[in-house]
Amino acid sequence: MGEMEQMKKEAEALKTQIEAARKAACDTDMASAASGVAPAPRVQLKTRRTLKGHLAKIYAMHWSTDNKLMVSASQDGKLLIWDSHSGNKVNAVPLKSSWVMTCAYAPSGNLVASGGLDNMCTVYNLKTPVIKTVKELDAHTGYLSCARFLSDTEILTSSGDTTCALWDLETGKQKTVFLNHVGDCMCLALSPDMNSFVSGACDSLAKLWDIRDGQCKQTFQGHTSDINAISFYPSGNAIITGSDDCTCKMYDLRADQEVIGYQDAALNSGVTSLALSVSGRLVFAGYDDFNCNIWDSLKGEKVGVLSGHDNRVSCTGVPVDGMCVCTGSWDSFLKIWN
Amino acid sequence: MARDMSDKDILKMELEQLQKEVKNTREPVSKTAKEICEWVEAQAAEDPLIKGVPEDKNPFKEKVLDITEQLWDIDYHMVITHGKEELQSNGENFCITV
Repeated sequence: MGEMEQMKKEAEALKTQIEAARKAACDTDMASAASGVAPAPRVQLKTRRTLKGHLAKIYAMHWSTDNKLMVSASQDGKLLIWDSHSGNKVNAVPLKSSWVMTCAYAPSGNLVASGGLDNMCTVYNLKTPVIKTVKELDAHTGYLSCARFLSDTEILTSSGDTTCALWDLETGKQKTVFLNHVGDCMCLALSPDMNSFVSGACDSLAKLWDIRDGQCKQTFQGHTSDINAISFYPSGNAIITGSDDCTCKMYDLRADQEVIGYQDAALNSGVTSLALSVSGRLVFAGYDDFNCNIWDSLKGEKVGVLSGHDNRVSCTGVPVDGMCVCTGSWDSFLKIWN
Repeated sequence: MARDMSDKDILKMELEQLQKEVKNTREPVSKTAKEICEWVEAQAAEDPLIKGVPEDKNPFKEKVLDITEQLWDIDYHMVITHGKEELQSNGENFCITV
């Protein structure tokens, strides 16, 4: 038997073993375990702010840890920093490349980052008298789909080149490359304890990585198309994913499998983005059909809808204090709801 | 990057990953799901998007100038005498014609 045939055979055997072990742990599912939990109330949120200023599709937004400022990125070639309370624009950062796909706010509030089809992650200092580019992180060989700061000195990126990377912002070099996906990496999310992160990719898999040793620890299957959005559950022991297959899923890290799905036969649009309320009970998922559906994460039921955008909802975000949810859209507007 | 790798190298990478993951311990869903439910229920009481945000504590409450309040704040006599008073609030101008 050829070497490749041999390896395929061994891989199949291991997959069967893993499936059997998962099945053995699968003595119930989340909806059943949550049968004693009181239903979530019907959620009716109002638009409190409509932030107007971008001139083209918005692709990404990210809250600052101060719960007030946020950054948004649009293919009009700008990052805008907003004061969400007043609705005013605080800063505008012109981008060298307008094909932006992601933006991020550092936990300190000092830095923001952006990246996209230029394959680079550019980091800007907001605190200098004039906003300055402090680093251009250039090593990915594919588009930059997502970036998240760990601190002012480290940032994680995910790329269309199928890898994720941890960068040292002082040297501008990659410290660790996370290679295991076989499709474009579309999204990443940091664990609450900052020791690990999860990535979602076009190979329809989600992977859990140890930041320090660079290893992939767990792989989650089930989606049948690209995973566009991913988030850690606030408890730290589950993740939620959103996919082009029109569903979201919760994967339990300790049981190593999917425990509930969020889907509706009537929904045939892909999920573009997701964000969780502070307790994790509510999942805000943005879809291609211009809506953001609100799911009860424990019972799997749809408990509300945020309607108001005139085009695809491309990004969603809940600030650390959980006081609102922000949606951003290809219609060029951001809306704040609570 | 997986793009530069040969089919054989990709298969080798997948196989090595499966060899690692087969060793992972898996806890029963009945235990792990129950713990998630308990955690969420404990937090949900303080989740602003579930319990609602009171109007007076909402930093995003709609910026509507309460005309009645403004009238009480300024000299009522002045408003009547001048007939029209421009009020400024948050950089926005409001005109009251009495």
